[in-house]
Amino acid sequence: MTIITLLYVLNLAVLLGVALVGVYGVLAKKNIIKKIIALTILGDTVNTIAIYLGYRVKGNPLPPILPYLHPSQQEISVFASRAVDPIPQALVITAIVINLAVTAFLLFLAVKIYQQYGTLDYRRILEKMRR
Amino acid sequence: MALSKALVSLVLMLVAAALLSSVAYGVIGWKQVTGGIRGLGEFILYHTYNIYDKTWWAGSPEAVTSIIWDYRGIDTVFETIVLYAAITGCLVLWSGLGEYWRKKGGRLTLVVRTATKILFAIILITSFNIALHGYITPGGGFAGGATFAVAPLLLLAAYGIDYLRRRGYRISRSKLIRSAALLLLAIIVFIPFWMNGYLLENQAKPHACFPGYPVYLGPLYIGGSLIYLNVFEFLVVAMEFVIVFIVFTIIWVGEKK
Repeated sequence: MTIITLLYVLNLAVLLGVALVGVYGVLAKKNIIKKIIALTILGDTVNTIAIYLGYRVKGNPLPPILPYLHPSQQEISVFASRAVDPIPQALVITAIVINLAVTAFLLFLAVKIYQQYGTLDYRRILEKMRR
Repeated sequence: MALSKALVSLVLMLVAAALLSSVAYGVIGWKQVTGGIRGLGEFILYHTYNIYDKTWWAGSPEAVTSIIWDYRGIDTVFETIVLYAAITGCLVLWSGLGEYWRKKGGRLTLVVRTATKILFAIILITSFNIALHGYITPGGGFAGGATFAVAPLLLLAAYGIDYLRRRGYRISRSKLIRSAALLLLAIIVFIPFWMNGYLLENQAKPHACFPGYPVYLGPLYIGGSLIYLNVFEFLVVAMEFVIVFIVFTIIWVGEKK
């Protein structure tokens, strides 16, 4: 196992840990805004993991952009055999925008809830709803 | 009671951990550890700008953009629609915006205002650059749009909350631009379909009659349909981010006063 492989696996483990912190925040925090912050932490960590999954551990990886407008056949082959996986990156940019849409919508809901109940603590919101 | 709650939280955490690690393991399959990537990724890397075998090419040396708008284009179209719907939902949820919009806010010092003027121009140019070169360099419609939206936010912070309104900006104009850009994007999506191709076709394929969008415009390399889609996506995303940022700023300042 080379040092790069070791670092790769270690980084993945750390990222999984951070994702768990996000899950914990969503479950355990009482304040709605803190829940939303934990949700964004979870989303960003999962996106980072997804980008990690497309990495080439062996050799010297290239970015997934061909730097020539008139490449030779050999340059294309070398590019295909050495560049990192572009699919996770493309999916992550989609996920980021959806994350933003969800977060914006949740924040608008939180503002509305605060106007309605005067608090962001979900236990007190539930109490006020029961009354 | 407290114990059972703690137990439920613990079980949920464990389930989440199991899900995350199994997803990670399943997706990797530890292929990375032996080197190499999945076959689909290699296929796209090999064909995205293969000028010798144009059967599956996308006409763009940028593999990520060619996936976003060509190989997996439908994903991105629906994602744009999700964003559009979310922002529409936010605007519907928020009523009574006008009274906050009319409140006057304080403005910052001359140093900040001058720096904002310079930064405003730089941010705008950078965002256009990112969006227009999305088919040959990293970036594209989303990145450019997100960059663009910071500029009006800076203006709001430096010149006071009613500055944009005094200069003639209305949120309804942003709404108009984003809807028009989405419509133009839909036209670009549908043109190949009307010409006996399939939806979102970029370059000619063996099983579709559409001849493909032009890759060269005279001497200029424009990368097929990617440039149009990037520009329209830039308009949609930029205007939506601008709406969200401005509305949030207005709410925040309005609540404080």
